[in-house]
Amino acid sequence: MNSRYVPAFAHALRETALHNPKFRIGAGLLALFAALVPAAPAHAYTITISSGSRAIYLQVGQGGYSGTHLNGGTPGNNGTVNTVSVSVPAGVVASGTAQQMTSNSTVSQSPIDGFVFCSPPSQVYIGAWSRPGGTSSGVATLTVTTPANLTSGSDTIPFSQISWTMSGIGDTVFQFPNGSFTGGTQTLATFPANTWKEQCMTFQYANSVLPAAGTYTGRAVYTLSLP
Amino acid sequence: MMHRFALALACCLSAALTAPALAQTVAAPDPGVRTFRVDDSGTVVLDPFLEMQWQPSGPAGASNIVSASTRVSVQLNLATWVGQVGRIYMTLPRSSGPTVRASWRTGGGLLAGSLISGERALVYSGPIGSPILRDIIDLRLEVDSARLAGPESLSFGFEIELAP
Repeated sequence: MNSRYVPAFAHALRETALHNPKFRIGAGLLALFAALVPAAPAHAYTITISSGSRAIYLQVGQGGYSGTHLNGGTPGNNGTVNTVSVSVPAGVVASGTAQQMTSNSTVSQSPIDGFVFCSPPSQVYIGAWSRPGGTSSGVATLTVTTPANLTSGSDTIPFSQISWTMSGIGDTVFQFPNGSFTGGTQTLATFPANTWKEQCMTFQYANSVLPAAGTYTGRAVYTLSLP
Repeated sequence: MMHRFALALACCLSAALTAPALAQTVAAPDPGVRTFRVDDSGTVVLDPFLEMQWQPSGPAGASNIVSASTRVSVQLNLATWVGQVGRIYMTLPRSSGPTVRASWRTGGGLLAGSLISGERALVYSGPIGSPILRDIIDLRLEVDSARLAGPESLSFGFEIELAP
């Protein structure tokens, strides 16, 4: 009920202010007084959270972390290029029976917290994180690039003969797909802002071609990029 | 009907068994009660700027949740309400940023508990016997890392409810 009268009262005040200079001065003094009143006590405590400065990190096999991330470890460079290999006995070459490959990687622990995640030498750790920093929400991309063939002199084996399976000790979340090399650039994963993904790769040689005897080599290059 | 009743009872028992000592998270005040903001200007945050860290990977692999912890020396000015009975809640207003989960342990003066931004949680219930209520709380903050684009300022507060 009262609210019906308030607009009329307010209207009357506006009329008075417009036509009575003294009232307008009074209103100005009131505003000044309000500005001089000491501020009321703060009613909140504030905490600012952030994801940190812009950075990315990629580890395939041996890595560059000093300690573990959760214990204050920091990422660094490691120039090691790990090798994955298999020797196929002459009697089973081209039998179509896949041959499991082994690596010279010794990494078993996650650099996040030291959790024993991978089982070398049959498994190779792969993990990466992206932190766009600032106000960016950029998505990082992990790719792997291979040539068309493994080579031994002029002899070749298609790189597509090699495939991988992703897993990890107690793993239930698969963050990278299983696949086989295509002899080109393949996208393995994307990383939303502030994401860490990790897995363990087990490589297999399909053994479905009959190449000349020899040692065939090729290099897979993993790249993490953030726009 | 019986089935529904049994289900509701089971739900309540489950909640009681899993979190008996935690503060109660309440979305809205009861009607009829008087609610006031509490002067917590004496509160000090040990480290008010936190760089969030990834969670331990564990068997599920790396998580999208990042977290950080700090210690807060809480000081609430309750002089206005000494001699009354009240409930004090910790609040964290919802913002345009990512949803934040806060959980805390206390030194005993306040209740331990947790809340999601936009909620409030009971941290004290009973008579207001002293003009100043102090406690140390170990506060842990968690957020979905993919939604944390830039620095986010979290403004915690306290409010008191007095019985009508």
